[in-house]
Amino acid sequence: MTTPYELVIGIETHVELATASKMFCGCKARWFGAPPNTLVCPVCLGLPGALPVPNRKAIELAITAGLALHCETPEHTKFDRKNYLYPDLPKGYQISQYDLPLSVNGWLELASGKRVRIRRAHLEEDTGTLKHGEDAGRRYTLVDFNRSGVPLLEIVSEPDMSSIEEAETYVRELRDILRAAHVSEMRLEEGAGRFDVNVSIRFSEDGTTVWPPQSEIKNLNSYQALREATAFEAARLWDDWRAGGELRTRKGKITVGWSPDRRRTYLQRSKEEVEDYRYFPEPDLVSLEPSRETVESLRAGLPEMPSERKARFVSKYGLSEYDARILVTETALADFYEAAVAALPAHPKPIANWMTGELLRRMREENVDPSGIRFAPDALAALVRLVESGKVSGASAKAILVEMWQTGGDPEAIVNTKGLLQVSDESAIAAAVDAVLAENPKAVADYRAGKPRALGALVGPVMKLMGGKVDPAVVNRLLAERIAASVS
Amino acid sequence: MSAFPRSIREAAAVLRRRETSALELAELAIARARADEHNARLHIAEDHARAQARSVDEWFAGRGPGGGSPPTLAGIPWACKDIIGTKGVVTTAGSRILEGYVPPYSATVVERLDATGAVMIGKTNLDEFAMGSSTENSAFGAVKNPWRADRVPGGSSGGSAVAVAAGEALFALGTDTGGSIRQPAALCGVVGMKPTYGRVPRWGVVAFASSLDQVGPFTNTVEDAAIVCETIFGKDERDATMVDLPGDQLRRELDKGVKGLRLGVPKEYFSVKGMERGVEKAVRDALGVLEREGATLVEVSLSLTDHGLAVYYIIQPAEASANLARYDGVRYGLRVDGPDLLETYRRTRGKGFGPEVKRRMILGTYALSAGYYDAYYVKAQKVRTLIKAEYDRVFETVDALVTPTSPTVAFALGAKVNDPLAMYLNDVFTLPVNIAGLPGISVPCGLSEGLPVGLQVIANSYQESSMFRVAAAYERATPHHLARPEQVAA
Ligand SMILES: [Zn+2]
Repeated sequence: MTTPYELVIGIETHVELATASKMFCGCKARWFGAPPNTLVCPVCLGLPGALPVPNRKAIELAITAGLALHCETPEHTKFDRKNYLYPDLPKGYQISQYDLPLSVNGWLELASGKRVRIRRAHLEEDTGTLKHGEDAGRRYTLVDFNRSGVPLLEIVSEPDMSSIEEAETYVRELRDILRAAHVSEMRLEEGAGRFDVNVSIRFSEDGTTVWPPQSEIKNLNSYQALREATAFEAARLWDDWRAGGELRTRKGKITVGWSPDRRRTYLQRSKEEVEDYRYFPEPDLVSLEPSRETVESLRAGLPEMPSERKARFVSKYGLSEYDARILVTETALADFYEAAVAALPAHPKPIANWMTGELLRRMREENVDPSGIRFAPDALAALVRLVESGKVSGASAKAILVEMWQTGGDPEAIVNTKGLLQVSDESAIAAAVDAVLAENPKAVADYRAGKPRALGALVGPVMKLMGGKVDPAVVNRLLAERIAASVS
Repeated sequence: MSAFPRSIREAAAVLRRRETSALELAELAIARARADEHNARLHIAEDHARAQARSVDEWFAGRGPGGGSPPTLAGIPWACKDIIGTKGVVTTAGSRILEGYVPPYSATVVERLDATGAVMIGKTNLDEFAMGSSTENSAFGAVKNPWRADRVPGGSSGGSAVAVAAGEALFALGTDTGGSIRQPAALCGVVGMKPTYGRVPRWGVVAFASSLDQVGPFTNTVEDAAIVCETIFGKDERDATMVDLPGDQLRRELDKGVKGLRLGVPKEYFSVKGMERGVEKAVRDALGVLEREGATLVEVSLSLTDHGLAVYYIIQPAEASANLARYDGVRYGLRVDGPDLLETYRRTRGKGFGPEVKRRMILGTYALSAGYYDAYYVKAQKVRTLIKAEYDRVFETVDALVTPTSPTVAFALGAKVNDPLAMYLNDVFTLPVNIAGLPGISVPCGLSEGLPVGLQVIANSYQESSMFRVAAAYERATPHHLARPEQVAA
């Protein structure tokens, strides 16, 4: 869709890190689904006298994320207090990083080759969650502090995206990278990844470029919300401008929320209400100075990133861009693929086809992730070997895969017990061919009249007679041979 | 026994000889605490104290945890400033906003004292959130000085100073953010000590100004202070600002004397406006004593002393403004409901905090605000670095510094409540020590107008041993530490 304006989009992504414990206490970090206020202690409840102790693993994961995004890790960083009052913030301040974040100046390359610059990535603690309710006409709010203190990484991009598709690609690829680097599972459905989208429109009016202030859309938690909210807000800004609305005189940015039910944004904070967070260095913590050795060892431990792996799959295994991208989206899936290829190095492409086709279809249908596949990569390789060596037909192979999927069985054993070995005795096939030819004189006549495609209609019936256990190519050849023979 | 022991060492010996039991000693301390007429107590934890004492008596009878002989502090009754969290025992920080609050966990210092068998008798009165120099800012009434009922005991740990001075406990814990242990110790005529920042865990201590707060003891003698410090010093993984230094061996230099030591006398500490002549005389006399004991006195200059107050009154309220934000009525403490969230905040905090606390939160919020942050907070931190550097330089040439603890003796109740600046000036000799993170101790050095004067000994970071050495040498050479208010003599 073309618009009369250009979109300018920058995204702040909040990611919950995959640590066992919270950022500044020993409470469990996997809060989703736990009964309210069961994963709490004096620290994450903000009790008087409690003090924060930084989680080393969280710091390492945050640095790792920065490295995976080609960031620099400054030698001197620190934590700061961000002061504001809200019931889900137990201390009345959030420990965050203000002017000296853990990672700066990185980039992420989209599939298109475009680079989105990463301005910074900093570590902070998550807040609790609020639950609003009503009892006998009286409205109330309950606070659950299970999420309070969960380590969050905030990754801030430059406003380098110029379409909604690009914005979505950025967050999807960012998620792939963070998952590959084992920094975060980023389960969006569990609130483990949230996006703040800064959107503005730029256009030409009376020969000059106009670029009014942006809107920041807060707290989007799905790709759909990201797409819809960004599209809505951009259109709203344009309509407002054209109608001579507030955008024409506004100087600073506004903050809006997204209502998925009403499918529209709503004003949260106007320019005048901008908060002063009174940041200052957290006196309960000493400054954070990642040693160069630590940074280098984290860099050395970085796994291959999805984009690099995809390129390698294309060049080394001859896969299509499309298939390679599907396989690398999930590290475990790509690992499964490479393990299968290692067992059958001669056939990387058929293995990929089986995975991106039949296997992935079943995984999606039954919502199974790679760890839930009942058979090993070796077994998939064995199946492909049976097909490629002509021992089983493609149709049989599909049936074998279904069996493997359900029972985890070994393909060779399934072939034997189900008698699916391909029939290679040509005399038996020839008999079936003759029978079909006899029943289809019109097709034979058509073929003889110069319509070679008529033969194709006869392959199916022969296969059916043979129970699918024959190679269609052999059937095709025999059909042609028998017709020719009957002429002479 | 009928007479209350005069020191931890004496009580420990009596307990070891089984001349009295820990329970008897606890009962005596409880009775004295109940008879307190100075409003030094906010809470007497009678059942808690008796239970602790009984288990110590078991220990003395050879049925203790894991056997072994009980440590020096076993059975010693002590009092705890009510800003230090005590599991199961109400902890208010002297504020309405925490009235009735019972912590679910104890501060590390309390855990450590519990483990030695020390018996906590109760919680002592203080300026609200330790903000004050007279203990008049307590939400639960001012504390009176046992030397003269119309005088303040100093603050903010006034109740703890009085508990020891009036013989209601053998030691007490206080917190010192700008002088809150040393100044009341001086004004009540007892020993008060503030450790190097990072030597005592702050875990469980209600935070006032995090980069300045440190827990320390009030005692009758310098040796007693060292005994308590040996128990409460040492790294705790729950406080990330601690240094990894063991806390034992603090008594090793107590008997060495000052012969051959170079003691710095900062000239700026004697030229402060408002310094009382009686105080100056007592301190000069004390310097003379140290010189006779063999120390070399060296005049030094700490030219930034004047700026200490300004730096302190930016950093301290700034940190406090954030530390006190958690008292919002949502999870614990006072809550005054309003029609909406903002109004609930306003009413809760408006009713829960006293005027001095509000004054400091406003000061701190201002200093951190956009547009003022660089001019106030950032500049104050720069000057703080300079003050530290100046102390570092001085300690290249001297072993310790000797100064007055406070420019005045105990002033009249009400005299400075309406003049915050005059009140703040009372800490002019103590707060630079907090700014630089150094250890300091106040020891009694005689009377002026019938009221106690304190001598402050300041050492370089982590050099508590030399600080105790100087203080102990002075104590041995004079009888001043034996002087007690008349009410107590009977
Ligand atoms: Zn916790």
